[in-house]
Amino acid sequence: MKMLPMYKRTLLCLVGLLISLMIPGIAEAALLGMPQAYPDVTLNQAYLIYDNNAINNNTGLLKVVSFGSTLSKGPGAGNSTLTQSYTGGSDHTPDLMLSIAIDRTSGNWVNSNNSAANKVTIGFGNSVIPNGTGNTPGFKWTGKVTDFGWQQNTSTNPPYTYGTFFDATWKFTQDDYEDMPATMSQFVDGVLTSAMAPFNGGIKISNSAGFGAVPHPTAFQRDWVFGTNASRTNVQNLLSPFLTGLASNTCSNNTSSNCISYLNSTVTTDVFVPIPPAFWLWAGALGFILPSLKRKKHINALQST
Amino acid sequence: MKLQNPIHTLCLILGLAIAPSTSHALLLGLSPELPTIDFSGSGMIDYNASTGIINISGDPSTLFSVEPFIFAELQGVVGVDNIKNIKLKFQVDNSGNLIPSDISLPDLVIIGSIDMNGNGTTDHSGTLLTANVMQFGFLNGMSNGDDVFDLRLNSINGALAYLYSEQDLAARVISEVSTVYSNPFDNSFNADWQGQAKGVIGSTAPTAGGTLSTPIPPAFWLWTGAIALILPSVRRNKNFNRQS
Repeated sequence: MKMLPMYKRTLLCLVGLLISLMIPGIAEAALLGMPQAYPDVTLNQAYLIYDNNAINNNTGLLKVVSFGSTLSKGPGAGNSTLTQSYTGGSDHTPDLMLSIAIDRTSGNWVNSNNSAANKVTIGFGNSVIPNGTGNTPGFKWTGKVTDFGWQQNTSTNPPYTYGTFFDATWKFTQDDYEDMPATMSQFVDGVLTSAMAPFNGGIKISNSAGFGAVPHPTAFQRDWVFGTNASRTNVQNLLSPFLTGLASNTCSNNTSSNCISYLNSTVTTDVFVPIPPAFWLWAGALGFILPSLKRKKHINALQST
Repeated sequence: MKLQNPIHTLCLILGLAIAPSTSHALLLGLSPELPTIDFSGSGMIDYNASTGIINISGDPSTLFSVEPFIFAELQGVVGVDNIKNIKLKFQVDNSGNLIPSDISLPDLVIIGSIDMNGNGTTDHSGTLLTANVMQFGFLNGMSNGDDVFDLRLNSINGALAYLYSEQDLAARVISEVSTVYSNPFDNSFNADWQGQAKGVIGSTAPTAGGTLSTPIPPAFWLWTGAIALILPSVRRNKNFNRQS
């Protein structure tokens, strides 16, 4: 075997070293980097659905649906939590909680005016219809997504991190309250929309499966359904109202586009709102909502221990 | 063995030094399957370096299953101060390796009550699930600093154990960068840390034959690759020296 000259070997060694130094440079995080804050709404049993051409040929829609929500005042013992189920009786369909418009050629957030895009909807209690005729307490927060980011690969080698985390910012557009208990009398229609106007809330989504070896931006040019046992037919049946319009052909390789992948994944989602402390004095007050709300869509409040 | 060229030596030292510092993927890669129990963002993960104990605590929120369909809220234990909680406690060494615990004492305990079919009657109340940690993985600093932990558990008991018959449990815990915690996990088990925690616990296929493989850090493969590349060069140097 012929030996390389010494200078070539040295050059090869330096090139190798340079490449190894450059590898971390690939990790250009496109996440927004919002820190988690309280109050925090955790979406229970969430599924992540992406339709790459839901709005038009250039714009896709990332949707998060969940079967319930848990509102947490803060960490540790003694803080109230409030859980709202969105199913009951024969209703096994999750609720649409978040929708984010995404440019399918870049993965960037799109400030779309489409009525289905960039919505945040958090409802607690039966009276989620603003100014409805019901007399049970409840509230509904709605908002508009204002920016979006995603996790890029941090290495050229597996495990790939692309698509394992997403984050977003949002602003209140409306908050409505129905028959709130006296201890929560500070919550009147529109109070948070006004108070929070200068501030962004945050959204954090983790998705254990991620986009795998599918390169950017191809991942945003195909449809995805992520969640616990998402590849099972009976799970897809539960999600069916939100799967309309998705591609029917399964993606055959990592470069395929306009196709669909159903991936088993652990999806967790938090929506948090940096509400000023003056509005957040409901320690114990959540318990007052409890007694009248054990119906189809019910909530429960508990003191953690 | 002697490296003749100081630049080669420098490359070797720098290459080996760089590789481990950028490799921190030690997750088991488990994704909990149905039925799942989740706990919300009010949870907490806490590490005490002097004892090596990791405590994860929080409020279990819901149980979710598809066959049959169950989406049931976990509530407080009937008649006992309405308590519900999830507590997971286990010990690691200062490299994050799991130290096996006393199998007679469960590492995971979920307490609460549950109405499985929504008929208004509590079906189970008290200790809903217990298990012991068999494997532990972690990944530091993803997503602008968010940390991920995953665990495999077995020896499952409690009122809901029948849902996980002949399965192991998998838990995936996310600890997000939070305004509340100033000292989160930073890829070290030599000092105390504490962070926000939320997560999902569900089923996973048991390990084949019940034996557990030790996860091999990616750094090992990088090192092996680097040495495999370097050794032939050293050998050639040696031969070259003999010839000359």
